[in-house]
Amino acid sequence: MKEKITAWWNKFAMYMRKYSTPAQLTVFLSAITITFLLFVPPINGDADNGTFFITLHGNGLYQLPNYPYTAYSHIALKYGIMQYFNSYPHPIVSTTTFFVQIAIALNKLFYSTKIFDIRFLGLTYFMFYLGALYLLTNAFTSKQKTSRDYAIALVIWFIFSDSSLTLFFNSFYLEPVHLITMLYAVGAYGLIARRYYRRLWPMLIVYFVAVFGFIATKQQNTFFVAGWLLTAFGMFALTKTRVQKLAVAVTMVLIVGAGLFSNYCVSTKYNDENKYQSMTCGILAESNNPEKALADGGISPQFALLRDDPYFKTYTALDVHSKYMKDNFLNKYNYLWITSYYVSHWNQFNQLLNAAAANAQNMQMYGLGNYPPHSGHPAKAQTHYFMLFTLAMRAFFPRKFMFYVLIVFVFICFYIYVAFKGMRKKEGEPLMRCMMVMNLIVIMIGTFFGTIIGGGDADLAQQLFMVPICLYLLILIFTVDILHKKLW
Amino acid sequence: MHKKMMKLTFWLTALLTLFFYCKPAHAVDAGNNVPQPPKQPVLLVYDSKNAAEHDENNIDSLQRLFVSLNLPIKTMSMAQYQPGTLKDQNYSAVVLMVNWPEAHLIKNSFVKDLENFHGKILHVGPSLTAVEKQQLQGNIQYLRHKQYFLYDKSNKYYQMLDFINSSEFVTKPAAGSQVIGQLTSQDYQDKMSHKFIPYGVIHNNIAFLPYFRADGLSFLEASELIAQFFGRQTQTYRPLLVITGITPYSDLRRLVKVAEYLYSEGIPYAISATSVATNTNLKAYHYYTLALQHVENNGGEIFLQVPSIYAPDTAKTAYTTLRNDMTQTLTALRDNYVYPIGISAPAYWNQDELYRSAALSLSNQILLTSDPDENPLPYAQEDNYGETYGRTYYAMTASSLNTIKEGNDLDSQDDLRFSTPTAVTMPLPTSSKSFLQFKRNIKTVNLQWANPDYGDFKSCVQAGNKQISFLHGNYLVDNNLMEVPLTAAKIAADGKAQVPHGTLSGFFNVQGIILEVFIIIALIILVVLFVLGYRVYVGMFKYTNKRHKTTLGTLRKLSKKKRKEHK
Repeated sequence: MKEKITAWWNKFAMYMRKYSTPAQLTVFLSAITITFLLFVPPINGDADNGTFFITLHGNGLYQLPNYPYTAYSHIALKYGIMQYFNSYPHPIVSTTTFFVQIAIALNKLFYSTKIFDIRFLGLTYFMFYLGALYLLTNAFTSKQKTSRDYAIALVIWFIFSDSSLTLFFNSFYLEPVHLITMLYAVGAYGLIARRYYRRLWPMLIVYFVAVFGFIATKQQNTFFVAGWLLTAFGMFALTKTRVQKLAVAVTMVLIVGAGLFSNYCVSTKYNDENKYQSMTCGILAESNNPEKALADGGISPQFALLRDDPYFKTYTALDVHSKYMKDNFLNKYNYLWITSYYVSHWNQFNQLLNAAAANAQNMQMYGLGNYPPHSGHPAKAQTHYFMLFTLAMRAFFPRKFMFYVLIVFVFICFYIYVAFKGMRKKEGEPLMRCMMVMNLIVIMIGTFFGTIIGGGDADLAQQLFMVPICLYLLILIFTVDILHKKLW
Repeated sequence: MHKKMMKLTFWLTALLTLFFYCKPAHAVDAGNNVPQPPKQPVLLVYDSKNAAEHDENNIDSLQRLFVSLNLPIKTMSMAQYQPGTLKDQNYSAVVLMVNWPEAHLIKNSFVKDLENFHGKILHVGPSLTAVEKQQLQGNIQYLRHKQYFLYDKSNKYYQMLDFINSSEFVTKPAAGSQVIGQLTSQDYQDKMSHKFIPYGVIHNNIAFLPYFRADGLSFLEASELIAQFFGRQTQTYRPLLVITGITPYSDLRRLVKVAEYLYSEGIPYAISATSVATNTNLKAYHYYTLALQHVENNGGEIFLQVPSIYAPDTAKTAYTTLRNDMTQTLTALRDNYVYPIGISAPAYWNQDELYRSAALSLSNQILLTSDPDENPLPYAQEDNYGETYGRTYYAMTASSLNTIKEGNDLDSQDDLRFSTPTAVTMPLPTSSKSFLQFKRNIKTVNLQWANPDYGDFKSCVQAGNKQISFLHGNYLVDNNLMEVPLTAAKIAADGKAQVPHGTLSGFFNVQGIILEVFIIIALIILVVLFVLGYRVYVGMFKYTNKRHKTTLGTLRKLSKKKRKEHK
């Protein structure tokens, strides 16, 4: 049976070899799939959950007043472009601005200078995404175009054209930027490691721009600097001369600089909200004795009455923006306080982690519609267009945090050995692969911790977007290594 | 026989008075001495909010004043005024308020309607129209650049008014006019001749106030004029001391100290406090209600303050949401022996249909404070109609009363006349220093305070399916007398819970140990790996047939199987 399949597959690969490389195959198939999703009516995207306005206003767009703009239930296709004066004083400093501005420029060239169609943003993301897939496929396939390579190309297409990921392209969330920069970084890194191209510097530039873009997307990404530093450290394996070593060291410093930039310059509008909710929806929510938890930390125990309150609650006993609230509550604790609380109350943290793990694979947010209004679909209808892979992961992946820890442990064991072996043979590439795996692990676990410490159990599904992405990339790397027999 | 009739009448009346019952919202209480609100509301037309001078405060102050006098008031700006709106059958009176005379915003159509209007006319501010001048008669002069001192009737109290750029003044009122308050300036001529000109003038169906502010002596005089003009001047009220700014997150021990201080000084007072609708099973909520019970037992009454709004609720379920929020809050308080005697809210809540119907209608005693500085105000269904209630308090800050000087000394102000139910507010002190200041302020504002225990007004608050009433110092729930338990001992003992004790030291110890163990383990692993790595590195340079003797060789031997696969 196995021979029959391999024979058929080889024939298929021989046929494909005449027309396209594996990377071109992936790009071609992805282009078709994603175009149907995003651009062919009924247009799919992700509805607003109330947070669009920050990105919109920071980029000079606004929600049209008479448009049937129905947050949550449908997506809005058209937005207005501010013509004369942007009265919102907070410009967004984030990588998203880069993509949105390109989309606005395209819109003004081809469509209109007054109305913005969200498909232009989808188009921008789409173009960059195809580039990322191209690089990624090249990173994981060999130049010989073996049948194995075509199998990998199809796997990449299957995983990464999944609608759960690409639905975000027609929306103003930060997730597509995460996805695109992450794939560029991983792809470029793999290409650097394998010396795929003759010249190294283009891929190096792509890599560092992607890393910088990833870190600068939102303020919480500062903590992932540690992971990316690991990958830069892996580049030492490639360096031969002192100049090259110096260059790597300089880029590590630049990555740390990106982290600082992200921490202090990238939009701080969410800060108070996250800080508030990490206490009210996080610590106070699951605690058995919330008054004691606060009193032990130097905060008045009366604030236990804020339990389960979201930041944007309509009717509150005390205005959350008031000076009293700031002085006596918000300014009395910081994320270090919260972290140390969780360390000392491990059970509670575990409960929250499990709650997060149960939702980690849900990239398609429940309660948000995927269709525009008047498209024949009811409010909050969700599409299941090309979602086999993520649906399967959602259904079958275990919903306990321990399983993630287990996977991490297994990967660490495998790849430390791979790196060890590579160092023995004086090869740089396995070490770099190991460092990338470490980075993905750091990001995956870091997202869990960061989400809970940074925001409690509010908004979980959206914040945990990086977890399944890193998981898929890990699975991909693992599969590729097995297929290429590089693991042992 | 005559004596028997008198006795019979007396007992009949006494019997009848027993049958007082409460109707929330639009009810009129017989024991309140405030007459029925007229069928048609009063129309307030203002030319401009003049936000640069914060004149919107004056507008909401007028609205509150009318509501407090039991006169429903509809407000619109001159820009919104449509010809034909001001008709005798629509409105019983009209108030024309001019805040920005330089802009000349008064519409001709309005003046025309004013000529045909036969109800009462009140003009506030400068720019008298021809119609009004004609009705006022008397000697009306246009004076510029005046800095006046306002004196009250008894000449005992005076206050310096803001600089008036230019306005009409009735220098010599016509015969038969009533004059409220007197103005004198520091001009040389006026001083020498002891010249006084009237402040507020009433002549038949027209009244004129050249200057209006939301507090201070000018407000007291203006409110007296308006009360007299609209036939409401039946009594002067004593002001009610109200402590504001109390939330479940305030320093409860200080609240208790303030309550005990006021009780020991024999000062009756009320507090305006917010509360929560959720988390009422927590200990923190229990402490809060204990503190409020303590206030009740120390001569204080409680107004439930409406919650602050983040953003107006425009969903279809907005009414239910707010109503449920208020009901849950009140029910939880009622279950914990806290019996509010009314609801306090900022002025804009009374101008909004949703907030009125969902929240303010739950009680017949309302306290209206001035609007906050937010712009825009979070209206949900703004209809600019000021509803009246059984009793509405007009709130003014105690600090504004400090600007009123009295004759020669700054003490006793108990002759100040309040023409409507007024609440004098002071914020809850937030530190021991401000507590001392608070005590000093109480002594300075030496007014005769109103006592809610006296009087025949029965206040009602609807808490869920039961009604909380308050009469003659007694709390009634569904007409059953309730006792508030004495909780002094509990608060003092539990006061300890308010103090954050630093157990972080103990916590740091544990954290320190964990850190040490972790670092030691990490170091051990590092050392082991280092040794292994060094051996591997060195082994790379050794060439020997007996490779199995090195670590590398041993490893190779062990993984022979794997090596074969690799080849």
